[in-house]
Amino acid sequence: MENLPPEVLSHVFAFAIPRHGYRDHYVSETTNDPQAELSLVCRYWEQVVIKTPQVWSYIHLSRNTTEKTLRRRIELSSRESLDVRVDVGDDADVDSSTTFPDLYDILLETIDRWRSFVFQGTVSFQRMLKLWIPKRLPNVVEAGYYGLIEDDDEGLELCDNDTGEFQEYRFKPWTAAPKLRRFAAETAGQFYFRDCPLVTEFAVSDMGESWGGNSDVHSWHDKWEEYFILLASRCPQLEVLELSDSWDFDCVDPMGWTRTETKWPRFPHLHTLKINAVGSASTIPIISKFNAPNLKTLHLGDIHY
Amino acid sequence: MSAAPQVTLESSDGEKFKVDKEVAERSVLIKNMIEDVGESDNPIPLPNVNASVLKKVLEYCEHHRGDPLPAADADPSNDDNRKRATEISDWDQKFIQVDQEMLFEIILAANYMDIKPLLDVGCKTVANMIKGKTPEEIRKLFNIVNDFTPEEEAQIKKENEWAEDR
Repeated sequence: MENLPPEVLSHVFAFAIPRHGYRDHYVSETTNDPQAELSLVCRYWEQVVIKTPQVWSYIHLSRNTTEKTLRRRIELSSRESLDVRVDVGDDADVDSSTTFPDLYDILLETIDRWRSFVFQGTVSFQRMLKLWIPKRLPNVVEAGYYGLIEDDDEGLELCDNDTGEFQEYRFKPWTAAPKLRRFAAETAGQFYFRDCPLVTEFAVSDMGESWGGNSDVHSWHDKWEEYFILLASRCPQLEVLELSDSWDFDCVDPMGWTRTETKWPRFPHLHTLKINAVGSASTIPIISKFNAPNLKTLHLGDIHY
Repeated sequence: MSAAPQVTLESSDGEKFKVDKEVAERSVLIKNMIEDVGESDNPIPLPNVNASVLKKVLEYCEHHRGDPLPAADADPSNDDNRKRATEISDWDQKFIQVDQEMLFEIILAANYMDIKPLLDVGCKTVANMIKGKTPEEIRKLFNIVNDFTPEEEAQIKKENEWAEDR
């Protein structure tokens, strides 16, 4: 082992650092980092670890992160592209912390280096998301959103004040991610991209949940249509679509869907459709309406009638 | 049908291996040497690789002869993906199940001969052996001497503390 030259040992270390990917939901950070474990083996390893930017390129920012260590990691990651996970925990707690927004500002200075971006945590209102999800992710190729919104009613009230009439509170997407290829989210509503033309893989893990703030996708076929129209227009290169739910899609009147004449949008490049939904009768109209001429693989999981 | 062109490789201990050019050219080093020197019947010397290691390396190259070569990619994100992918295929896993000495010899040979996919397989294997182990366990595994003083160890721990315990 001691005969391995620094560049090879560096290569080993790059693979030895575990990093959570964009499809990993809520993950907790550790106070005992693998970088330290490697550095403590011997002087030679410590020197190689310090000079291996990839070892430092995974950044999990949470309320417990300190400025000193964040700056150190940014510095040691050199020009390496970064895998960033922003973990706000409960944003009510973040609000009471004076350091977290400052730390996030420090991290934002590296935004051009972000290769992946994951947001996780609980926010009080939808509008709070704009604090944490940037307007542009210029070089991000993978993204994941795993956020709970505590108080949707408040969102509705705010919207009423703005417009003077009752209507669904729906955010316009605000993030441009021109290089994004793969995206995963917990719910259908967590789709904040206005510009993401290169997306080829798209996954939602809890599809029956909220879409557009308060309305649920699962209850109404027009919501499904709206969702797919939006998906097709924003992600014209989509190749793999995975829709899952821990329960079912729960369409209230699946037979009613067959009576509608609406033609779903075309997904010309889609070759794989995966649907995982326990006991979902709604899958029949979803699949039968799908307009994907190049579909090669249809994977159905956890579906029981 | 004419036979596939072949080249002869010579290990550090003088053993000669006649292999298809396509197989030998999995090594960027050999590919460049052939391009520089041109077609020749002379064996290509590999002074840093002994016969037993070269045999293993050529077994890998033979199995992967039809794979697409890792090109110098215009898209840096592809290189990023390669560096971040930690899985090893079933065949590669079986191939790399060797003793520690041979594992490091293969890694060094892959590095010298510039065979990136093989280098990755070797490095991922060592990385998997390291993951989740304490420094003491790693030292024991690879027979490494701890040359830190207790004070230095404490300092490194402090420097690398990512988050505060709360």
